[in-house]
Amino acid sequence: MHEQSLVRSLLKQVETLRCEYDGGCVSEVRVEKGPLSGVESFLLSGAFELLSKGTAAEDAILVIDEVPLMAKCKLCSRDFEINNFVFRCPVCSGNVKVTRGDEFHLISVSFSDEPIKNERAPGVGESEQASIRTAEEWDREANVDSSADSCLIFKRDGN
Amino acid sequence: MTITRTITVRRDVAAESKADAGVERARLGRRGTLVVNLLSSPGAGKTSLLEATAKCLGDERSMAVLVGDLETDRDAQRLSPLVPTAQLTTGGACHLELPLVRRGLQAIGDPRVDFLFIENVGNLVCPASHDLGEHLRIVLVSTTEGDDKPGKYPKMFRKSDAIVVTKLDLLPHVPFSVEAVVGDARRIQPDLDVLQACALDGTGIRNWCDYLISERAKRLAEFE
Ligand SMILES: Nc1nc2c(ncn2[C@@H]2O[C@H](COP(=O)(O)OP(=O)(O)OP(=O)(O)O)[C@@H](O)[C@H]2O)c(=O)[nH]1
Ligand SMILES: [Mg+2]
Ligand SMILES: [Zn+2]
Repeated sequence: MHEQSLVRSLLKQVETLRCEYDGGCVSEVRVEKGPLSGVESFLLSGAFELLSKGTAAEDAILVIDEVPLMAKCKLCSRDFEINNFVFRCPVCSGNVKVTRGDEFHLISVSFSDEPIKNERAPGVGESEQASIRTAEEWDREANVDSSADSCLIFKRDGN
Repeated sequence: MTITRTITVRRDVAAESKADAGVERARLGRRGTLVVNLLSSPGAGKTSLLEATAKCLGDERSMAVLVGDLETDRDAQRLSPLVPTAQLTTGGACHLELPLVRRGLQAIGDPRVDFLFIENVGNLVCPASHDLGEHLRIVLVSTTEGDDKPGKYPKMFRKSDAIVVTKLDLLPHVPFSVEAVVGDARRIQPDLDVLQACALDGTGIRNWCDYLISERAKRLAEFE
């Protein structure tokens, strides 16, 4: 379950673009994801809804384009789609290089001229329900338990 | 009427964390530390393999271990008599991420060792998506968990460099075919190296250690 941390990065990139282009309210965020990205659409949508609350992207529609898993044969250079995760050339059985389907990309951001209702910066003061911590929070909360001398115990939270 | 503007870009959402992992890989690679990420389902024998590795390789090479679990320091208690170890407890998260790994490494003094082993949380799903700055990614499959796992968790096997079949001593007692598991895994990743080991009686451990030594030489050459 790493969709939340990816959505945090996504929202930050959206906010960067909004500032760069002096955009208003974010109306649509379009992403592309492949079968090898490890990103689950359902979890992605849920995380986007949760973490965009209060930001300029709160009312944005998240459009997820699923891209196919494509590869190039290292021997005969044919391009083809990979089915059922069989990473071999259907013609010569050669090993392949994945050319598409590994990615999770931000493709486009649309802005409307509707007034912005919310301007919370992404990642700051998130909803209570956001359970997965940011890298900074991990860092802050991690602490060394020096009471055990035989080994170092390293915990993410202080208990 | 609402006017809409669309800005088209194409940006890797995970670019920042990928770059971060690359920095760590280069930093440790340059100073001669091979980082090995060990992955498997719970109980496949990661800690046992590390215990056997420390006993076999400990006199020849320096090493350290960062071991990840949701809770407890049980694995670190097992390993710390043999090798400098930090326990990373994720408190519920099902995989390790680089910030926690870095903190663990700091906790044991960021040692200049030949091998840094990271035992990931037992899970064949999420750890596959997290680059910890490793040079070598190893997935363990034990003879007791069935030979059908690669096809069920394709991403894990696609993203690994080698598979270690563990608990070899149990082979006579369980319906498990090494050939079948290797065939299934190599449909997904034809380049996978295959090793076999029994941590309890030491079968295959010397071979595994020799593999580590040769991979270290090969993979660290690019950082020199
Ligand atoms: N028969 C046999 N048992 C083994 C072998 N290696 C490990 N075991 C046993 O398998 C169980 C799990 O081994 P661990 O090394 O703790 O496995 P792990 O992958 O570190 O487990 P987690 O960290 O909890 O995911 C223990 O009871 C070990 O004694 C082996 O080669 N043969
Ligand atoms: Mg363990
Ligand atoms: Zn071919």
